[in-house]
Amino acid sequence: MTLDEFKNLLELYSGDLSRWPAGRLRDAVALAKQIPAAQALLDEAVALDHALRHYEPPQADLSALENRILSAIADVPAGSVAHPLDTPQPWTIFGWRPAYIFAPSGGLLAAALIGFMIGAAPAAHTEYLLDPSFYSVDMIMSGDADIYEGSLF
Amino acid sequence: MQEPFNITHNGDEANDDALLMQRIAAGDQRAFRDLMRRHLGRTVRLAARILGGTGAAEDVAQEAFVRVWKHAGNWEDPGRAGAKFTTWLYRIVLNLCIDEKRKRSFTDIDAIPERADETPDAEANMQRREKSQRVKAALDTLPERQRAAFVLCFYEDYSNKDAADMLGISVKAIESLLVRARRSLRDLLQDEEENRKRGGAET
Repeated sequence: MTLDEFKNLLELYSGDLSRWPAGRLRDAVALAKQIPAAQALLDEAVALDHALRHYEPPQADLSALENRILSAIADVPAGSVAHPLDTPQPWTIFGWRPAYIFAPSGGLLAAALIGFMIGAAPAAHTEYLLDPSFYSVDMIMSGDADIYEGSLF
Repeated sequence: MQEPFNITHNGDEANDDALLMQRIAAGDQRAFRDLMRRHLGRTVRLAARILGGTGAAEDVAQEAFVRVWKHAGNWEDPGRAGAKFTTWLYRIVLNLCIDEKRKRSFTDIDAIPERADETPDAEANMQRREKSQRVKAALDTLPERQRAAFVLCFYEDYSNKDAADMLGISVKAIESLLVRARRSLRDLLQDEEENRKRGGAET
C-alpha cells in the first residue's frame, strides 16, 4: 500500500480502523508502523473523528412523540395507500390520473394529424429516380474511392 | 401496560421487523407501537443530524411512521427479495429530510437561540455546546446528499453498501460523497480553528 492509497482510504473510511475492509487493514497498520508520515495521517484522521463526534443533537421527548404518532394514525386504516412509497404521488383530476385521460386522447389526435398531413401533401415528383446518375457516387474525394470505383450498382 | 409482541428475539432484527410489518399491514396497532419503539429514537436522531435540529426531526419522524402505517401493505419482506425494513424506513426519512431542508432554506425554524444553561456544570456544558455548534455549522455547509451520506456512515455507523441502498445510489457514488464530505469538514474545521487561535492571540 502506498502513502497516497492510505490517505485515500482514511478519507473514505475515517480514522476508525474498525470500519476499514479487512483486506486493506493489515497493510494499513503495517504502513503506519513503518512510515512516520502514515502514522501522522492516521493521527490527524483520528483527531478529526474526535472533533466531529462532538456534534450531538438535543434529545427528543420520545414518549410524547410516540403519543403524537399514535393519535395521528388512530383513524387511518393500515395499508390504506396502495401505491409504492418510493415513487412520487401521482396527481389526479376528480380521481382520474391525467395519464389515463391524456394518453388515449393524445394518440387519437396524433393519428388525425398524420392523416391530415398525408391528405394535404402535394403529389411527389419521382422523375429523378429514373436518372441513372442518381445512383452513382463520386468517390474521388473520398479515401475509400478504390473500394467503390464509380457506381454503387 | 400491555406486553410487547412475542417476536423471535433471536437477534435477527430484520426478521423481527418483518413479522411486525405483517401484523401492521393487517391493522395491528400494538405491532405498530412495538415497531416504533424499536426504531423511533434512531429515526429522530438521524433526522436531527441531517436537519440540524430536533423540532423538525420530530415532525419528519412522525410523518415517516404515519407513512409506514399507511403503506404497510406495500412493503416487501427481504425474504421475498424486498428491502430490509430499516432501509425502507430510512429511505423515507432521508427523502423527507431533503424535502424539509429545501423548504427550510427560506425559513430556518431551528435557528432560534437556546435558553442559557444555569446548572452547576454550566461552563462544561457551554464548552461542549460550543464544540457541537462548530461541527453543526460545518455540517450545515455540506450539500444535502453529502451530509446524508456522512451522517449515515460516520454517525449512524452504516456500511457504505447499506447507506447506498438507503440513498438509492451506487456504492461508488456514496464513496465519492463521503470523501468530499470529509475533506470539506476537515478544511472548514481547520480554518475555523486557525481563525479562533488568531482571534485569541490578537485579544
